Amino acid sequence: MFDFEELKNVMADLDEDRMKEILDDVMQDGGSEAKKALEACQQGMDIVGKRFESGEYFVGDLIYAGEIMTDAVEIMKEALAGEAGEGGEKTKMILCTVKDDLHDIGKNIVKAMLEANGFEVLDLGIDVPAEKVVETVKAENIKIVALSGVLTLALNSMKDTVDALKAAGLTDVKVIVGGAPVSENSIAITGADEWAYSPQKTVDTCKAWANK
Amino acid sequence: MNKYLSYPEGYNKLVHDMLPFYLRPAKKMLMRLLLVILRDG
Amino acid sequence: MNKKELQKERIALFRDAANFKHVDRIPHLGCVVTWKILDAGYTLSEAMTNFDVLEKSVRYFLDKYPVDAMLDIGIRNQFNVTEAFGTPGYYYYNDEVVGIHDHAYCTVDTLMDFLNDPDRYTWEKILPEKYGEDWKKKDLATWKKTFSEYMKYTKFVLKMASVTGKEYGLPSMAPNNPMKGSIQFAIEELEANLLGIKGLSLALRRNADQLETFVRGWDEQHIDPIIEEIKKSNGPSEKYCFDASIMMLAHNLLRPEQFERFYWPSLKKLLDAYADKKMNVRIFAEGSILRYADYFKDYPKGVLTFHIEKDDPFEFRQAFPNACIMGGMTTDMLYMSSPEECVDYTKKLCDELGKDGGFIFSENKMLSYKNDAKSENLLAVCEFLNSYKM
Repeated sequence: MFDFEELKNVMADLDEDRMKEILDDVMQDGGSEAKKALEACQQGMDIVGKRFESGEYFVGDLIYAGEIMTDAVEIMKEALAGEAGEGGEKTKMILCTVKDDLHDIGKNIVKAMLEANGFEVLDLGIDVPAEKVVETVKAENIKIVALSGVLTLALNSMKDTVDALKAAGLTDVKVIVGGAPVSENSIAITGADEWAYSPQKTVDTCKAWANK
Repeated sequence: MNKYLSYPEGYNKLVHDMLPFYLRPAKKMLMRLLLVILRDG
Repeated sequence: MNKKELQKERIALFRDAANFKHVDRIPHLGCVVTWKILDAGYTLSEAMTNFDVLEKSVRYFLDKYPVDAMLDIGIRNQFNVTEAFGTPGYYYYNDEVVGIHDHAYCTVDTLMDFLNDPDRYTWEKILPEKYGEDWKKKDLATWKKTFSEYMKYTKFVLKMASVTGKEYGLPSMAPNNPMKGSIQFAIEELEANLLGIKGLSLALRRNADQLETFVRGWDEQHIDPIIEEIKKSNGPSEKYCFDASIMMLAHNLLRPEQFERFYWPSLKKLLDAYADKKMNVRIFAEGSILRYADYFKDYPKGVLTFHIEKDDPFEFRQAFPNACIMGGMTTDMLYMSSPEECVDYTKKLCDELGKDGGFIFSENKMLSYKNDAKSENLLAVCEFLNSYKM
């Protein structure tokens, strides 16, 4: 029996060593409490996101958090493998770095946080052309797309992606854009529905859309 | 077997074979930037 | 006025602005990189391996846009050299984009191997891993071809320095140059090349002591010798706009206590050495530097010039009253706004930040892609700055 609050706080405090000790204990009996432990880690990641927003945590902390969250899932993966889909549907969404941009660190942080908040994230990778996004939206019946980029030209590729979705008649798909060149102006430039100044904003916005 | 792979012998041999004789006195400076270009570029 | 005199006048403008002396007009550092190739009507594919096209792009830019100095004189990319070597490197380009793939040369455990003998580590580890099986096949003919392209590139660098200086009267920003290398702090090298952003983020928490050992060792090799040179120098140079140029990016990654441990000690001792000699340092602070204001507050006016990116220049002035501000104009504005709006904002920057010196106009990012600016906006701003009397 593990202490839920302790694990949540250990994750929030980015105490990697203690997190691994607790999860090793959880797996002692084959991981009967793995799902609950994952939930505790996810709530901890939520706190990490909020601490980044408030200025208590910084970019390096987010990258580190993404890594230890990945490690946590890896430790429990055998126990979690049979749990997928139990207890309700996860909202599927697309995440990618847009065409001509190869950066993925920010995208990967956001992915870890989205997954921690219950989304099933289809990560299309980097340098993703608009056509690929449209194709995947259609194939998987996706209603939420998150586009990432670091270079200023990413805004063009984001616009191309939004335009391609509209041209394909996929007007009910919500698009959020994020990354270094993104600002409030980006909504006007790209035609996206929202912009994100932080990973937490992406998570909160996508959750609000998923709940509608 | 590529004779230039070892360090420092292979490297020094390459520098000797590659540089025209009149540039050999400046080999340290020239090679430093060339290696940075090949390493980082 | 001949070009040499124009060059001297421009250096004086930059130095007076950096020293908070009133200037008759605000100087403009053109922070323009590959955008100028596209603006001249070429694609990047045409330019990246063609020195003629690069030179024409630089000339086209300088004939059209009156700037007082340029960050890049057409020499930032050396694709001819890497392509002669025959195996793709980290940089890539197409018609519109030049980019770089993430990479890391070391692990935390091999950092000291690199530091203790960087030439050996490069030859035995980095290059073989980068080029894989191709490395073993690099014969003398390939090396000679690569070296030949490298010498052509070197000549091109010297030629462009001469063209921009002697034909256009542009001064050099600082003594750091591509042949000698610029000042690089350990934490920046760790982020850019040695561990990468992810590797560094993990090592900052998992291997802090090892990192610190590396940083101190790096300082001994790379920073302390510069400090010794500064101590022997005669103070500010009249040949350059600034006495040193530093790029800061890694600070965006760090927690305050990490900045305090891994960055500040190295940066402080270097800045102290420049301050003792009343020399001026230009710091390109990518991202945001505002949260570190307290560290720099004790430096008097005339020591620090911050080229800012995301920070609001007016907030910056409040937080760093003794630092000259370089920057102010955003790519958002240069692309999205009208020429009139850009000029109005430029005037506001000059009037509010520069009336008693302390301001140098520049773009907040290196203009690289076609949508980083509209030609008519940049032209309007350049022409305004060239004629607006303070």
